[in-house]
Amino acid sequence: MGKTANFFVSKTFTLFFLISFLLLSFSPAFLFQPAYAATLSSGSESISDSRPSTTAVSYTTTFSGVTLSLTKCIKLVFSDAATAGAVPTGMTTTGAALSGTSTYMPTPAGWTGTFTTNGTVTLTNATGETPALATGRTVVLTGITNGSTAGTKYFVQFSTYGATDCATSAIDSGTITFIYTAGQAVSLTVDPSIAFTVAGVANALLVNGATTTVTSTATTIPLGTVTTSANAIAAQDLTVTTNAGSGYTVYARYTAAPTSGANTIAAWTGTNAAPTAFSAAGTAAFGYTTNDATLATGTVNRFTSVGNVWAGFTTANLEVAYGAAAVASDVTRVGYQVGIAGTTPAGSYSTTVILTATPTY
Amino acid sequence: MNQLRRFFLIAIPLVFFAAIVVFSQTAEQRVGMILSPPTFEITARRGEKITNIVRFENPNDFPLNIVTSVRNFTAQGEEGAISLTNEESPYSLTSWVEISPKGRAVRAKSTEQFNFTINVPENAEAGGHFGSLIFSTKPPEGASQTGAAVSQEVASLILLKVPGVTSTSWDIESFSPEKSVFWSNPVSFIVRVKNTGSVHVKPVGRIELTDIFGKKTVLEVPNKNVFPGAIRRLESSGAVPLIGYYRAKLFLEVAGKQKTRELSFFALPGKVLLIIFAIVLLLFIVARRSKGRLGRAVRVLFGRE
Repeated sequence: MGKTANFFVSKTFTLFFLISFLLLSFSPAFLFQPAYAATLSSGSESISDSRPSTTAVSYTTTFSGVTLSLTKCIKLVFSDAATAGAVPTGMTTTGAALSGTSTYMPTPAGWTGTFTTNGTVTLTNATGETPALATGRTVVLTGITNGSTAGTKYFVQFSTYGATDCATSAIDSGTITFIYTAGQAVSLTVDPSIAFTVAGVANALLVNGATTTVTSTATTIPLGTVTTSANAIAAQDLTVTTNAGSGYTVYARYTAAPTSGANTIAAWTGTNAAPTAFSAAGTAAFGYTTNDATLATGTVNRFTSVGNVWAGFTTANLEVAYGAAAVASDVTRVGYQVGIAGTTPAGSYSTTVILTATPTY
Repeated sequence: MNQLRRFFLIAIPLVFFAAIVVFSQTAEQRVGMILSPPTFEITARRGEKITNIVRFENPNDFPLNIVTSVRNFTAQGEEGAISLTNEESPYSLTSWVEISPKGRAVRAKSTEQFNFTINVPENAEAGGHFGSLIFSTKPPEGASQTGAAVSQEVASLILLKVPGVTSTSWDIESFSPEKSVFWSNPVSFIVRVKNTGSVHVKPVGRIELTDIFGKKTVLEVPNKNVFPGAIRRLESSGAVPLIGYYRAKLFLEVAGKQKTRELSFFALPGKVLLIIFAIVLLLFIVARRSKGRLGRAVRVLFGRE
C-alpha cells in the first residue's frame, strides 16, 4: 500500500477510536439498552377492609420472582382492566401514602411517593435500591378510599423500572385482580397450576412442514382409509398454561403399534432424538412430529430445523413440547402420519395415543 | 299443502339430528384439564403419615371421567424435564402413596378435590423421594377406521425429603457466559449445578457483575431443584452498561454453605461502533476520491493539507 494510503488508513483508525471513546463517555443512551422486563409471579393483593367506599384502607401488594437489580421506580395502577383502563369507580388514591412496613425496597423512607393522578401511584428513588430478596416482596399503601362497586373484578397493574421516569428501563411487571365485598377482608392469591388442553385440527393445515389430510378431534385421530398412493396425516394442537416458574414438558406415547387383529403397522424408523423424513406413500409406518423448536433435551430444534421430519412412537414417553418458564397458552402442534405398503393386510388399524403434560421440577 | 307438511315433517327431525351431530362433534374439538398445585415439596419423618389435596378443574362444557394413578419419575436432561417410570429405585415414592378416589366423573365447569396420603415407612431411607400423581381421561372406544384414540394426562409432582443422615453434596459443574463478548444487552450466563448427594437441593444464588469503575449489577440465579445424580442448567440474564470489561462472580448457597466461581467478559456497544466505523469509512472514501471542496475538507481533517 502506498505512503498516502497508509497515512489515510492510520488516520482513519485514529479518528475511529477517538469518536468511539467520545461516544462511549458521553452517550449512555446508546450503551445501556433497555432491560428485558420480567413477569413477576405468585402475586397477591391484600386489602385491610374490602367494603365498598371505605376510607383509610391499606393495600398490600405482594410478589415473588422479583429481579434483584437497581430499581428507581415502582408504579401501581389501579384499573378496571388488566391493561390500560380507568380507575375503579369511587376509588381515591390521591391521599395515599407509602407505609414503612413495605419490603420491596430496603429503605421505604428514602422513597418519594407521587399520588397526584387518581388511580396511579409512583414511588421513586433517585439513587435506586435493589430489593433484598426475590420472594415475598411487599408494597403497602395506606390511606386509600375503596371503590364503590362490590363484586366487580378490578386490577392492580404493577411495574418496576430502573429509571425515575417510570417508563424506561423496565425491570418487572405483574397484574393482580381484586374485588370489593361487604363484610370481610379479601386476599386473593394466584395459586400455582398447570392447564393442558388438546384440540383437534382440520385437514389441509400445516404441521411442521407437512399438510394434514384429515380432520382430528381432541379425543380421536381418524386417519381414514389409507392407500398405497397417499399417506394420511392428522394433527392436534396442545396448549399449556402454567404459572409454575419452572415450566412444563408434554410427552407422547402409544399403548401399542396400530393393530388390526394379528397385524400391526410398525413405528417409523426415525427417533425422537434423530427424526427423519417419512417415506413416500407405499411404506407401512406410523409416526409423529412436532413444531416445537425449543425442546428440553438433545438438539432442541431437531424436528424444526429441517421441518417435516418424523419419529416413531414407543410405549415410553417421548418429548414433544417444552416450556422453560411460566407460560400463558403455549401452543404446540403435533402431527401423526401413517402409511401402508402393498402387502399390508386389509383392516382397521387402531391404537391409543397418550399425551402427558407435567411440570418441570 | 300436504307436500309442504310432508316436507317439514321430514326436514325438521333431520335438522335436529344434524345439530346433535354437529354439537357433539364440537364438544370434542377441545378438551382441557387444570391441576393445582403442579408440584408438592414436602418434608416428612420416618413413620409419619402426610395427607394433602390436589384440585382438579374441568373447564369444559361437558363432564370428564378421570382416572387417577401414581407413578415414579426420574430427572431427564438438564432442563428439569422428568421421565415417568414404573421402575423402582432408592428414590421411588409410589409404594408409599395412595390417592383417592381412583376415578371420578368431574362435572362440567367444576373443580373437585382429590386426597392423597403418603405413608413414610419406619425404615425409609433418608433423602429425596419422588413421585407423581397422574390424572387421565379415558380414551373413546370402538374405532371404526384406521387411527388412534387419544387419552390426555396431566401430572402433579411430589418431591419428598425424609430427614436423617443424608448426603447433601453438590458442586458448580460449570459457570460460563453465553458469549465472551456481548455486543448488546442482555448479557446472559449459564450455571450448571451437579448434585452428587442423595437428596434434592435447591440452590439460592446471584451473579455480581462488576464493571471497570467498580459499579455492581446483580442478577438473580433461578431457584430450581437439582435431583440426586443429575445436573441442572440454570440461565440468568440482565442488562448492563456496554462499557467494556466486566468481572462476574457467582454465589450459590445450599443450607448455609456457599460456593463461588468467577469469570470475565466484555460488553460493548456493537451497533454504535458499527455506525462509527461506517461513518469513518465513508469519510476515508470521500477523502481519497473526491477532488472537490468536500474531499479537500476531509483531507484537511486528516491533516493532509
